[in-house]
Amino acid sequence: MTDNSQVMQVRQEVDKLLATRHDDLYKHVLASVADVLAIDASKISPRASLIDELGAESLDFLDLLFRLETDFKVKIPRDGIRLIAQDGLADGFEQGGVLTPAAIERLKILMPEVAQDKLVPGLKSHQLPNLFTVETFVRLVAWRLAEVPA
Amino acid sequence: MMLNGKLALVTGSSRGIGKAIAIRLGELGADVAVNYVTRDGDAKRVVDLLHSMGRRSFAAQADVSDLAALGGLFDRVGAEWGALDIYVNNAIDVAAFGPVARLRPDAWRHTIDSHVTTFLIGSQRAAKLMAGRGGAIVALSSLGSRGYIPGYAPVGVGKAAIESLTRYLAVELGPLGIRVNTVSGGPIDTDALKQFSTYEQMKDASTRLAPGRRMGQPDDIADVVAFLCTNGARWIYGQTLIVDGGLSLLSH
Repeated sequence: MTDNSQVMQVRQEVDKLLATRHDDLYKHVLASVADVLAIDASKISPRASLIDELGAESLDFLDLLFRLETDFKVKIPRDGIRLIAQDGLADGFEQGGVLTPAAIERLKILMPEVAQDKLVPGLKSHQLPNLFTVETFVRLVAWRLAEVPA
Repeated sequence: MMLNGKLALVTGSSRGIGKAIAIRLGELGADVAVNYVTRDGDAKRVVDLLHSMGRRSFAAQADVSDLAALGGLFDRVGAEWGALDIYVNNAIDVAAFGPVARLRPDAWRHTIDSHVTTFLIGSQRAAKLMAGRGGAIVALSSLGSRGYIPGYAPVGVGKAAIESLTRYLAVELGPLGIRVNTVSGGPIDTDALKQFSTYEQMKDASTRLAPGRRMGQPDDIADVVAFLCTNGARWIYGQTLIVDGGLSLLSH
């Protein structure tokens, strides 16, 4: 049995911070996403995949992270979610490019904003960014603001 | 051992190439300060490994793209050790990556600064701690500094600046007994590289085309960086050594 206690702790700390600051952070992240993608903020829904539905590319993710780092005065590792999820996994985070079952379990804990039927066996690690929404970035910022160790 | 008693600082050494360099320097007898930004667990593991070799080591958190934090990092080294013999300028911060037509000024500026201004100010501070004892400064560059890698302009241009600055630093710091050189690597198999969408292509190209017939590993770079810090490299000034399994020899 994999020990998911550290990942659970990250989840709890993020939820705790978002309990009071969610709307404030969401507004800010939404504005940054709209700016980076040059799309009207009103056209961006919280659950829309930035890559699949809004045409974002990896360049845009980098730019977005840089803006959020500057605005919130935090450092966000470029592979933040993977970083939290992969620590101490006996079988690793991925094998042959496919996420391991243990990694999927952890991602379900870390990414409640993603429909659980999207986090399924067979998901490839390079497909993970396709699941990112505005909410995903809100949670990444919250993780750094809560200063939970990676 | 060749670097017995030497004091070293390696920026960005919690993982990847920086970690391999820190460990290699430790294996050769150096005490190593392990700088990191967010990966405190990984940094601690590197420090523990160095301790287990009998070296002095400590983890020092600092985002070296921030000049105030960079200054703080050197303040810490000064406070802990009072001196320095080896400075490895490895960490960078990539905020922009993509087609030149789409690069935005702030992210571009930040990326370039994290290469060249960090190297300049870091070397100034290192030289102060090396006063009276000489030393070695080694920076990291990559093939994208001279050739073209898709999307890589911010980093390639930053690395090109590092290579040029290496020459200026070498000329002016040489008389102080401080040798400055750079190691330029081809694609190296690290977590950082896996984030690029072209990782699989780079791996495939290296394995099929490079005379070395494989992708570079962190130790391939670390061994050359370490050599440049030893007395064996005493007559090498201001050079950029290309360490790429021969990849750049090919015209693609």
